[in-house]
Amino acid sequence: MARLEVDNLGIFRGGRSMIEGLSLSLSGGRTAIVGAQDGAMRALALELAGLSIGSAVRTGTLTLDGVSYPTGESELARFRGRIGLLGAGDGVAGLASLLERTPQLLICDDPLHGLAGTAHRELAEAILDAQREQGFGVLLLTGDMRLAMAFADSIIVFDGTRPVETGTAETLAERARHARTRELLGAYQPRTRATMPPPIGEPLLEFDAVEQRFRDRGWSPFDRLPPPVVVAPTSFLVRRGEAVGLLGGAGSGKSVLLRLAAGLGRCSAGELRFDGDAYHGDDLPAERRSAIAMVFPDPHLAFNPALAVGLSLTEPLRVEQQLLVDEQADRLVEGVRSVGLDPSVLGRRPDAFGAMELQRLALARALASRPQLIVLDEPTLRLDAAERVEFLVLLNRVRADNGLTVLAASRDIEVLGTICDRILVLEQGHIIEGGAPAQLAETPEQAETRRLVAPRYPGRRPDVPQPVAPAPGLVAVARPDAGEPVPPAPATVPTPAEPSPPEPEAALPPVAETAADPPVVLLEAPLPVPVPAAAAMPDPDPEPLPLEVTPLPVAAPPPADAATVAPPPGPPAEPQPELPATAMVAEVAADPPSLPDPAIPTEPLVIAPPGRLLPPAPQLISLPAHKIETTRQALPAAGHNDSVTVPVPAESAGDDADKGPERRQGDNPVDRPDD
Amino acid sequence: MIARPDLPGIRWGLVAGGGVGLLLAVLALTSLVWVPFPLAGPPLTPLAEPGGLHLLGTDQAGRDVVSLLMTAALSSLAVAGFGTLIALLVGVPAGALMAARFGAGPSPGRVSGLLLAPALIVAMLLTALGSAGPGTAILSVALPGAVAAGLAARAPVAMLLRRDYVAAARIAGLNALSAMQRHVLPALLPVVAALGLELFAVAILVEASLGFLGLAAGMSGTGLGVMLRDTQGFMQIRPLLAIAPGVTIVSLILALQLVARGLRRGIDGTA
Repeated sequence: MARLEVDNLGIFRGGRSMIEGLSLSLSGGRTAIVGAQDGAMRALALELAGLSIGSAVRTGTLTLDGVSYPTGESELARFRGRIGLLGAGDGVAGLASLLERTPQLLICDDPLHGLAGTAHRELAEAILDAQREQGFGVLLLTGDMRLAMAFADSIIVFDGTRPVETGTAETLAERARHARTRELLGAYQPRTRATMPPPIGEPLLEFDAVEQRFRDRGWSPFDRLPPPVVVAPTSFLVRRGEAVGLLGGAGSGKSVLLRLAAGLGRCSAGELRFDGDAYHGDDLPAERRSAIAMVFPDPHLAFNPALAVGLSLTEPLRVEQQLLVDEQADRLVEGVRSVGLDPSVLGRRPDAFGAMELQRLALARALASRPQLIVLDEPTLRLDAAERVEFLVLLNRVRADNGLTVLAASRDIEVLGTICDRILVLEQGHIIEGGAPAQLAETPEQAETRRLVAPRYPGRRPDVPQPVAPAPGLVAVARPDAGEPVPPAPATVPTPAEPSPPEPEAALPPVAETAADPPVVLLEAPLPVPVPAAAAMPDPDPEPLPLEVTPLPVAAPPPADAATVAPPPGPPAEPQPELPATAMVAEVAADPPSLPDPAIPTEPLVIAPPGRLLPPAPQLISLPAHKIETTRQALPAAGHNDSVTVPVPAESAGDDADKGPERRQGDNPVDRPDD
Repeated sequence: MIARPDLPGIRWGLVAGGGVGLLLAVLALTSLVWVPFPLAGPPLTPLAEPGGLHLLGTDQAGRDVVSLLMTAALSSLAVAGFGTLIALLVGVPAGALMAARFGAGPSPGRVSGLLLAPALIVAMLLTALGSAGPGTAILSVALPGAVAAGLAARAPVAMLLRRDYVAAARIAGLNALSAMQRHVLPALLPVVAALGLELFAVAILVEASLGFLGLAAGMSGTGLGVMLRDTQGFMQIRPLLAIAPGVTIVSLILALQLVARGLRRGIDGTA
């Protein structure tokens, strides 16, 4: 097993500093570096893999097994054989071919980028399995803090070009010192759905036995059989003000339905009705076109690369010819401001924007014609984890501000759970299930649904050296009445066999405080059948939350007793039938950054632009007063029931340095910026 | 557009092809107003040696070869050019229509392979019907050319039409035609330009073949292919008489293809 030592590494390219002052050492285990995806992480990955580009200048030392990286290309090439580099898009296949060369060190450069939620877990688990077999060290470079938390033993957080904080998932979750870490930790919480969604009214869009068949490539005019079905006859309706999501994997037909609704293509049979007007796709009456808008998956494909974005944004306005030029300009500026961008960007070409900015502009374009219905096709596909939440929050706000009806499609239930009131699950063109997001996540009936709602990040594997104590994700829960800093944190660990009551209660404080803080739990009311505020219930059965709350790493909770090694979460040996449910409770409980921690002067972790944060709507939490009482009383009793509470002093986790080589990193200067 | 490494060969080819093509075109156009020895004038000494006043000598009918070449080149270029123009005007919209209605369709391969044999058949048909003027030559180039252009334009139009920004424009309320005009046409222009140049090059070859076979004479009764055919019998004594139109044909085609290749490289990186 090779040992990678990096000391005070700096990378400069074209006079610009990309990485500064990075020190780490890695031999076994998993280290994650979390940084912005602006090319710096990529440059670092190439440098560490011995693939340095000619224009990059390196300072500091870089050694593998004590041998400094050579400079000559042929020596470097020999060196490279020992290091595997897994890039974005390489996927499981790329990993397999890397493993054939039995690398001694695996560098993963944003490997999950662009993968769907289910593929996420597959790849992450494949890496974990490979590591267990071959025992190499893994260095993960990513922008996704949640992945790092779920995956790595040790995490280095970058702010810009510099590492600012180092710790384990647990220590960071407990007491992140640097603002950037806290921002990253909090970025996955859509916390501002305190907006009033529009009231639900009469049916606005109806699918009436809509069927779509496409001829495939091998079609010939002599074929007797009708072309294969892409969407089987499908009927459902979207009411005015409602947000309906279509959940399905690739090829399930969700995009086809969305495009038909938006007036693209033509269905093979059946009809759609928008506000009573029947159409079949592109025969949508011209005067109805402005009432339906659409946001596409890849913003860079949704803007003409040759035109300034401002010109693309005026397209919906050109149709309304009675608008004066001044009025057009006003609407344009207003629209761009409403999605949080400055109007001065309108003169630029699309390639001058990142995916997030461009998707905001796509939303602005969709809103320009003041539509009633907005159709969202995988709107967050090209966004990274933090941007995704930011965009969803924006969507919710925009929906509330404009009283929009939403029809969205995604393969990611977190996305749909955040913006939708109701979700329909599609499998190969058939609607197989439907219901409120919470209900689907909780009791998926179909196998496909179960697959789609399964957690996104891998559980921790107990076969790698585990920190004894603070169970990841379950710890940093502030008692509402605690007057002192949270750590040393008690690790509340459930016995796997019987999910114990206290966890939901542990999740409670943030909910109980909703009066002061915009709630996290907001799968609220606009459903025809109101969803109970699941998170708030101190239910003996740990109830999975609406998934918008999920974020932090799924912790397969290790037993408090270090001697007993918990079986891996997946295998049948585990008498834990409802793994997803338990996992989700763990996620809910793990909401440390949202807590007002008296020890740390936290700025509010609000993603919405300042000033847009509406006061929380009191009716959102339908938690009866006596329930709150109950939960408050229940809290002190948390230690007395089946779950084991192991208070672990914060320092002891750091002193576990001999647990595994990867932990030695704690000695690194980067680790303790305060020292 | 993604920056790609600049290939010196391609760029050099673009410059050289453009230069040679322009020079030949200018010479050909000059023949409209001036040639060294007007062809209509009294016949000169037949089969004069090259050099002196007659740079390339005179042919068997006592015509100055340079003057004849200039006139013949213009005739060939005109026939090929009109044929290509008609082919593009008919073929590209038809291809776009096909793309809009039926999608990308099969890949057409290279246009040149599609052109020569059908052109000969069309020319033979028209000649059998009793027509032998420049119209025959132009039509023989234009008809198969239109098919080739349509096939070649269909795929890029289909690709552009599938772009989400075209869908966005349609959703924004633009009708199919204005969406196409706004988003597809500008991106298609360089593609059509390259396609036109390729077709033009093949059309010159086709025109020369037709002339050589005596199936269609160009304007003013001559053409590079006609010249090749007429001088065949004198290859033994005056090889230059056949070589001169041959070299002219080859350099015209090469020049056009080099420019087309340079354009293609600029558009999509294929060449």
